[in-house]
Amino acid sequence: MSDSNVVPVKILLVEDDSIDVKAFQRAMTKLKISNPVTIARDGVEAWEYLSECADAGGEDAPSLVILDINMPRMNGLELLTKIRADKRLHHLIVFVLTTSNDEKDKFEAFNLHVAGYMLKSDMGNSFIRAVELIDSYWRVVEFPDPSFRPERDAAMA
Amino acid sequence: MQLVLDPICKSFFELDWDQETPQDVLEQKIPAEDIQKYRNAIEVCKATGKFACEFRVKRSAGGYRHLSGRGHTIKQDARQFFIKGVFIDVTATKELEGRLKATQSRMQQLVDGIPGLFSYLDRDYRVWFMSSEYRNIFDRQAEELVGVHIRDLIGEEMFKERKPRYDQALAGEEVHSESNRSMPDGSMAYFSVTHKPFRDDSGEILGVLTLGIDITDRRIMEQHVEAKSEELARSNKDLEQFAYVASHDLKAPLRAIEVIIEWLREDLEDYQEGDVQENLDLLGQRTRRLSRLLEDLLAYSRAGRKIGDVKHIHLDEFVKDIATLIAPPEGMQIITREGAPCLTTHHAALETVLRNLISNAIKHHPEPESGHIEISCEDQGDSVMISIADDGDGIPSKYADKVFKMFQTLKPRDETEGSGMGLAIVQRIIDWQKGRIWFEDNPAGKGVVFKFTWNKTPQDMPTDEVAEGRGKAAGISEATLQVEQSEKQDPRPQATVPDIFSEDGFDQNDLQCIGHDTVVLEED
Repeated sequence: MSDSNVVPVKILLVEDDSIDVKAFQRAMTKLKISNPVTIARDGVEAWEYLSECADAGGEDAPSLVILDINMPRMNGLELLTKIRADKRLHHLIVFVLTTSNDEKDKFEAFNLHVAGYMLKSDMGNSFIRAVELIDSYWRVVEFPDPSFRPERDAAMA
Repeated sequence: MQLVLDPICKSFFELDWDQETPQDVLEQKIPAEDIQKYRNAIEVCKATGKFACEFRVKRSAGGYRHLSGRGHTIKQDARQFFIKGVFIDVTATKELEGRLKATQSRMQQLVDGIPGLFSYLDRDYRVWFMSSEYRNIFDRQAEELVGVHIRDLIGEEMFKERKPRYDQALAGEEVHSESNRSMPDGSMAYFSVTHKPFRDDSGEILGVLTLGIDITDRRIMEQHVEAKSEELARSNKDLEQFAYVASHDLKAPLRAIEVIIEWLREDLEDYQEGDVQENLDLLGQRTRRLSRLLEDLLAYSRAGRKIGDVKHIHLDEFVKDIATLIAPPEGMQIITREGAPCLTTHHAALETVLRNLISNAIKHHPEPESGHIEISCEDQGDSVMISIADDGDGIPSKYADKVFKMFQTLKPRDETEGSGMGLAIVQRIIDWQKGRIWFEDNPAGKGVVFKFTWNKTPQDMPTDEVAEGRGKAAGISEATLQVEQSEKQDPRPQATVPDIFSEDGFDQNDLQCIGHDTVVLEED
């Protein structure tokens, strides 16, 4: 396990059920994980937040998105489609954490290049294993430095 | 005036052959009612020269002789007036006419006695005969209708519609149809109509007989039944929606409650003050119970509604498998007696019934380690009868009906942890399969025997069909639902929870809050 990523990555949790949000946070506390977590209540809020981050240069943008599917106004897959269509945001790592066991949803999610698809019911509401997975993920996997922007540098050149 | 009568004529008047016959002598023989007619005829003859009259002549033996007289003036002057003519005794004819009229009127009476519309048309579609009922429809006396073309009575359009059927009958066929007609009072009457050819002795078809029976009552009843069926189908749909509410909308907040209780337990693990730990336990228990109740309620509403697949099963093996699946406690014996027939039936439904009954026997046994349950089957022709006998405490017969009702347990909930739904579900399934279920004392001494009949022919129930109002009997349909459109655009039934939930301390008001919306719990 590489320790080069000492700076904990920012996580964006997109979840409308407040109990599930609490459960996620409890799991993080239990596992003594202290990544900064931003919470969006649905796809629209999440998109607004992500757009703001992108507009601001992207350095404070989250690197990991935990995405619920069934949400009001804009659901998870609709949000994901927008993310993948946006040049500034399409690189985001997305994990789906949902109640939906629908094959259609799974197919669509992987079609939109999710890093993983997890069911809430598999873990009760403790989310321990999901959080463990995410924790391992960002610790093991190498993330590019947010300040590294080849197109911007090229444009500036 | 003198009339010259030949001897035969004189005999009509009962006069001697040599008697003179002046006017007044003849008039004596004529009954008072007919005299004027007679005199008028003579006056007319004086004026026109022609005499024509029909009148009666008294008979000394009683009764009358009918005479028809025809004549003409042969000589007439100021003083004398001679008529020459013929008198014909038409008594016999008159009598026949009378009898004919009597017969006709008797026939009319007879036909009027038929509870229907009876008519006879000839080959030219003219009315020869119509029962008096038609008076109500055509607003004319039955006699006035004779000779009228049917078209003039029923109108061109209806005649065009009917003509093919008349023609069919005139061709020799018996034709059946149904028709309806608005009555003069505005109401609609329905008729079952039969047209039959009418033949003479040589077999030739002279006309068509039509009989229309009023089936308005029957039709109204049919419409009523149809309306009721639709109503019941709708009520069943409501029931399904109610089950949907129970499954999705009640489960979600319930799950949240269970989760939060877990968290409280974790966070308060070391807190020993007061009743906190005990209360947390009770809280957990009650929510688990609520969860099970919900599952059972769902199972109840689905029982007898799922068509499911029909499979061929060997009853012996089937029962044995179920007994094994239940995994009875150590020491409990479950014995199945051999010799049961094979069935092709809704196996999942039968399994539910057997599983419930066997579990009950186990659950209620005071000494499970030495308990004894015996299952046997009896072939009863159209159905099989299955018995489940245990040697437990038995059930007093006064609870015969109660045990099959929803949410009924015979022991306090805390002792048995049963929702009280098992037998209600079983009852519903058995009703669906048109069987019967009951219990008796175990003849072996201790315990109870549950017996039920199961139809060998699988009974299907399409989702919209009426289940004999069982839902109503069980109290579920007392829930009234109004479907509202929410912003989410999914139908969110707003249920008025029936009284059944007022058992076991569930306050109706609390549950109405839950029925309202899950938003209550999602509020931050």
